[in-house]
Amino acid sequence: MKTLVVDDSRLARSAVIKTLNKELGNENEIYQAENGEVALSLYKKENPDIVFLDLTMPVMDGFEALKKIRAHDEKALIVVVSADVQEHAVSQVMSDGAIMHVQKPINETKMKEIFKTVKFLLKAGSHG
Amino acid sequence: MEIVFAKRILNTLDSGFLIVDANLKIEFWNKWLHIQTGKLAKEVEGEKLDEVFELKKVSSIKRKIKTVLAMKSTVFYNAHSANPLIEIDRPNITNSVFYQMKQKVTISPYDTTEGLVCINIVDQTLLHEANYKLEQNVANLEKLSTTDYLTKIFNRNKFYERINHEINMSKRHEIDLSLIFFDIDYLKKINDTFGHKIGDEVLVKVVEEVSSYLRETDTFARWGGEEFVILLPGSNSETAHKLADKYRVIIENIKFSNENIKVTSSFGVSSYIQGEKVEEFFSRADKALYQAKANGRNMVV
Amino acid sequence: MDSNIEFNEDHKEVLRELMNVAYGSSTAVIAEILDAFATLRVPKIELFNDEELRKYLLDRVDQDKDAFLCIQGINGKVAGESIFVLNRSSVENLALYFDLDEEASEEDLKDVATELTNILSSSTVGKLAEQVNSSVSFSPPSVSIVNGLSMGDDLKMKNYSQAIVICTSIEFEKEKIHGDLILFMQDQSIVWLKAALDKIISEYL
Repeated sequence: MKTLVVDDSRLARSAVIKTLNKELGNENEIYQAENGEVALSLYKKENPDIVFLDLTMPVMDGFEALKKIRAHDEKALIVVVSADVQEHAVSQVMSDGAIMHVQKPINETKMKEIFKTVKFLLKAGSHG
Repeated sequence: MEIVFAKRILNTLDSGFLIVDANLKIEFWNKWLHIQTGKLAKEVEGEKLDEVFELKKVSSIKRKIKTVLAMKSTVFYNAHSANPLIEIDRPNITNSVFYQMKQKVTISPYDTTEGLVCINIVDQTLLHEANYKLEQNVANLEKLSTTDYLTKIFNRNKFYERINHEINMSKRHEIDLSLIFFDIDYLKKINDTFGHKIGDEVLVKVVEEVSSYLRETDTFARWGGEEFVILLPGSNSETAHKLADKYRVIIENIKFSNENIKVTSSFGVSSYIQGEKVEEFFSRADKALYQAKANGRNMVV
Repeated sequence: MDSNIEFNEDHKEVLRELMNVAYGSSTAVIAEILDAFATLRVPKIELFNDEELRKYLLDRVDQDKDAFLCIQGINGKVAGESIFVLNRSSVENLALYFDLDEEASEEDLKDVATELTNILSSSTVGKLAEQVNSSVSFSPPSVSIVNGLSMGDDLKMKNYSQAIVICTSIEFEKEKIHGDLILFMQDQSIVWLKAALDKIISEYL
């Protein structure tokens, strides 16, 4: 499985990766991006199965990256992992096509929840 | 058991406790509140606080309750103003200052899932009264230490304060500043000839007359026995000289209780030169005054 | 008390992320309470000593305007003080959000500044403490209005060797409300915090 982890903070990316590995074991390819722009080009190049996306980033923020990735691939599976938990922000990303919005910091419980939710979508063969 | 225990404690404590929801509906009203407001628990429980009492700023109260529930932590309702939550009159037989209770009010989460908060009201009137009296005392002391006992204008202390301030203002905003230093001619002679009572009358009357022509921004102070200073922000040398002469004439024309007495005064004027020290500014006026005296008195230099 | 409380790049990175989370949480609270939507910006975080703090403040604040200094004591493992610096126009804008009239009195403005400080610093510091497995409590906030020029003197770091400055720009749709949140931590707390950060670093970085 291919995963794209997007966050300007090294710590945050590493937290996602760590919990991801715990959940999936080690048979997964992980790509990292530190802002929305890098994320978009990596997505186009690598076509990951799932994306973990932060919102507050320089250059291109998560709101924009979300829209652009979804525009490029309407079946993109994007989980927003962010410190921005305002109601407005959550409803915005959900209506822009995110599968879930998870409050930082990520942990094993939350990661389990994420995979429970996305399992069906992954299986349903959006990316085979 | 627990609820009974909690209620007993809340009813024995010497401050107000009420439990309300986000809409100000009262779930619990303790004994202190009953005693202070005259409203029984059974009268108000189930009712909305803003319907039982006239509250000021209901939206602010509701917003603070919302904050408490959202943050799950205590909020201080009135950190500065001691504005009461509920207005409670105090009996005022003796000479106390406040007629209404000054309150310290805190709002804490009680049961966030049920949306309930606990409001604590503490009577702080005595503290406020003590503070008030203290402030009054300080103000009085301040007045005593900066005013001249006889003429009631500022004394030298205060003058030093003011001159430094005016110089700073003059520097910062580049405005003119002038100083008039004057003294009453032969006051000692008047005291020796007619007595101190007359001497004092002269001082008081001179001050009264000069004061009535001062502008709001001017500072008038008694420097010493018969010496006075006036600080004139915004006035240049020419204006200051004209004013000094005007005062000279006014003083010359004052009528006293003893018709034989006529008083003159000598004036020294200086205008602030940017960059000079306070001492220099003052000393130039002083030297000018000395010059006026040497040249025969009753004049302006 | 020096090298013991120096933060290296890794420490700063971790702290930045922790503050990001804490700040996100507090902004959400404010947005909910004010019924407005705030744009969250990446908070800038700096660690300053006395000299550096004074210089920073002089840069940030309008020299001839008034600033509201809202101070709240923090008790617990993460002990110290939080100071929220707001200029007068931000407080006046905030007052409008709090349904006050245009003619709000000084006392009203102080209350408004205090309320925002209470929310911002309690939720930010509270969340920070939570992430390092500690709890904190707060003393009642106090407000003073100071002139921009003298501010550096008012914030003399007497008992602290480091100050954590978090540059917060809360932007509401229409009114811009800018404030700087400054955390002073007692040396003992900094040592403790550093250890907590080390733990996180070893786990994740």
